[in-house]
Amino acid sequence: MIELQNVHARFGDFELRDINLRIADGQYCVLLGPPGSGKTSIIELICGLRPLGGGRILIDGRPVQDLDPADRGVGYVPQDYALFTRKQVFDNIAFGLKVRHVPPGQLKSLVVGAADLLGIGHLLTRTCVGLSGGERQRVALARAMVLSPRVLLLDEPVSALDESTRERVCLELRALHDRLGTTTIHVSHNFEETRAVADIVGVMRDGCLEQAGSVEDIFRRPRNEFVARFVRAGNILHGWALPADGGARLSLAGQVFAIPGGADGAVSAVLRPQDLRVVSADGPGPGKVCLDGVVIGVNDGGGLQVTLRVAVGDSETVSAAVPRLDDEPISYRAGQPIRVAFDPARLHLLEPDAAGNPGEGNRVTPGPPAT
Amino acid sequence: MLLLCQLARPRSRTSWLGPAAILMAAAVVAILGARLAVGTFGAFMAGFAVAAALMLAYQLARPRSLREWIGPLAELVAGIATPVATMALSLRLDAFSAFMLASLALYASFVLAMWGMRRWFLGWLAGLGGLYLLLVVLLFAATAFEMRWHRFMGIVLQEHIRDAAILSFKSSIMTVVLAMIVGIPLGYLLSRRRFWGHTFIDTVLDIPIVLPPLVVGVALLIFFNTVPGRWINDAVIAIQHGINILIARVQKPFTNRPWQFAADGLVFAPEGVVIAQFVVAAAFGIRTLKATFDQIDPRIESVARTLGASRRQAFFRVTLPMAGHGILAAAVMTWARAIGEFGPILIFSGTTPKYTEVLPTAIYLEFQVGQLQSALAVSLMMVLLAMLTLWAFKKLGGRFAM
Repeated sequence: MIELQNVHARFGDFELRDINLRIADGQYCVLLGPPGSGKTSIIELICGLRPLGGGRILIDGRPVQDLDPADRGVGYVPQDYALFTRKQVFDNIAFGLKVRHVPPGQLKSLVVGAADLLGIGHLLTRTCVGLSGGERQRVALARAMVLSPRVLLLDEPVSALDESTRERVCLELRALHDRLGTTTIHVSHNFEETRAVADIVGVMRDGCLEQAGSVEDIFRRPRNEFVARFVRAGNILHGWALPADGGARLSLAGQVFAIPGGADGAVSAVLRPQDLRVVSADGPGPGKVCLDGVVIGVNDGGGLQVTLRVAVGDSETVSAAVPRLDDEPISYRAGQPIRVAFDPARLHLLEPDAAGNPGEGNRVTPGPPAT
Repeated sequence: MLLLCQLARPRSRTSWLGPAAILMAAAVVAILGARLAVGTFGAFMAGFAVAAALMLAYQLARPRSLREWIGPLAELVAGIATPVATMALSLRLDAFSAFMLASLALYASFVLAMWGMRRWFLGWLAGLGGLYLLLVVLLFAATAFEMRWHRFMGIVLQEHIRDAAILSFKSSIMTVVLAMIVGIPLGYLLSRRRFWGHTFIDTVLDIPIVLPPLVVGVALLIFFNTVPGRWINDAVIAIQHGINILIARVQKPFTNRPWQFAADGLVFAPEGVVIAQFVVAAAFGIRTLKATFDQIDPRIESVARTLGASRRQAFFRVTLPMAGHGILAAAVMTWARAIGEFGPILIFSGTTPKYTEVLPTAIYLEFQVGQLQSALAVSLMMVLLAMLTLWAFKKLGGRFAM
């Protein structure tokens, strides 16, 4: 288990503010965020490679913020792996055991064990120079895992690999984690990678942890517009809410309808493409909200769904995922008028964003509806 | 032959490979043929003349626009200039002048020919820049032509030159050791840490590099005349006496007259040569070392520390071995700088033959007494050393950090 309590640190102009994160034993946590958001800094703080400004770091309930990196029980795999290139693979993996004065017999069996676990047993006598990206990553992993760390810290472990091996390596990382159960923190800027490996996700921005929660939470119920955009949770719609009895009335994309939750003023909401259905002109079922629009783009996903870009209302564009039978020809064309409908209960309201509107920036929030 | 040129050349692009090979072959044949008739350099000239004439023919054989006539015209100039150079030789101009005339003519013709080609502009730029390379080549060629090689070994083996060489090697190696002892830590710190005063130290390191070497010598002389400077000098003398006593003890069972240091401190003494070399050369070494450490990912040390190594262990067991080649390159660089040092040594150590004379001062002294051949021989020796050094430096993957 690892816990960050009110962690605060300052490096030059960059500041990490009030990071609180708790990762239970055996969980795989991904820190997700754009470059420069402080993910790597958090890893380095946990390793003890940078000075902590304030707060506490607990590993298995033991405060470690004043310990040497050597005594914290962390396994660190930095970006680009930082192998000891002048040494053989064996010596790379054995380095931690050697500086800890493990007896040679035990050392050899531990190194061979770690190498076999990662499938690099045949590389032990090679130098690191001729290894492929995937092999280098395994050597770095073996080097960290041979000491049986309490926490494994992976800094962008797959971004140095080429596109085609990334997905496979992600699955392998997850499989390794399932086998060993080491609490893991994995830094990434890629949400697909995150979906493939994570139990829990922390989304970072500008040195703040915007949201931490399960994968389900982050992707279905993002806290604010930044998180929603970053994890591509779905369509983000802007509207205006007025409190009403038992909930609120919401004006959004040219429609006014009741929603169960309480809301007031300018709001933004996420609607997943899967929750938008194409309906025939005679209308949807009761309680649905209809949006009339024009198809402006058709993306054949190649699978069991087609994604339509539909312009609705004055300036909004939404994506709708339409189910499709395997060989069925696509019957949608750009320019075609279309009616899509959604269940207001499926709309997920976002919290107002502290740092203003991110992403697309200068979007104008529509004013209150004329009554 | 022209037919061959055309065949070897892809029609659309100017490929120099085929024609160039034929030109080379023709030149070699011409050189061999003329060797008997007009001597070695005459033969070279003949080779150049044939090459230029062939080039002219090659240019003429190509279909061309008006602008491309500039090239062949240049070849024409070359075709005339080269025989002129050959004649200069026969007019009893010395070998080097003929060599220079011919290479200039050939070079000019190449640069002008570039003008006529499609990629003319880049070629033209290369031609202007190449003037410098030509100058460097001519400089060494001149020295080598002037040297009477049959006297070379005799001069180099003279006793005072030999002593100068020995002192040069001893002092420069000592300088390298000292420079590495201060340079590795300083280069490492400058590369890894951003501390208060970083920029200041960086600038101070540049001072010995930009300072006129003579000023370094004057400053050294002044410093060792101040009170702290004299303390250091006296301390060195005391250490030398101490070592002498030790040596005497050790050698007593074997000889009555043990070998002894001259206990003469630093100023105007061979030991001072090391100081004079060290001041400037160390700055170069530190620059190279900093570049070496800059190239090593600091995360490698971070990983070593999370694996259980202390900072010291991470430095000695991981970073230092990885920097091995770079450190060697820095040592080579420092050594080259030290062995070529002249100004500070001239002022701080003097030029006493067989005592404080080093190779560069030997060149100076030989010139002073009009021994041109001796000066040349030592110079050529140092050119050779410099070449070897440069080769070693590149081989070790060193980079100039300036």
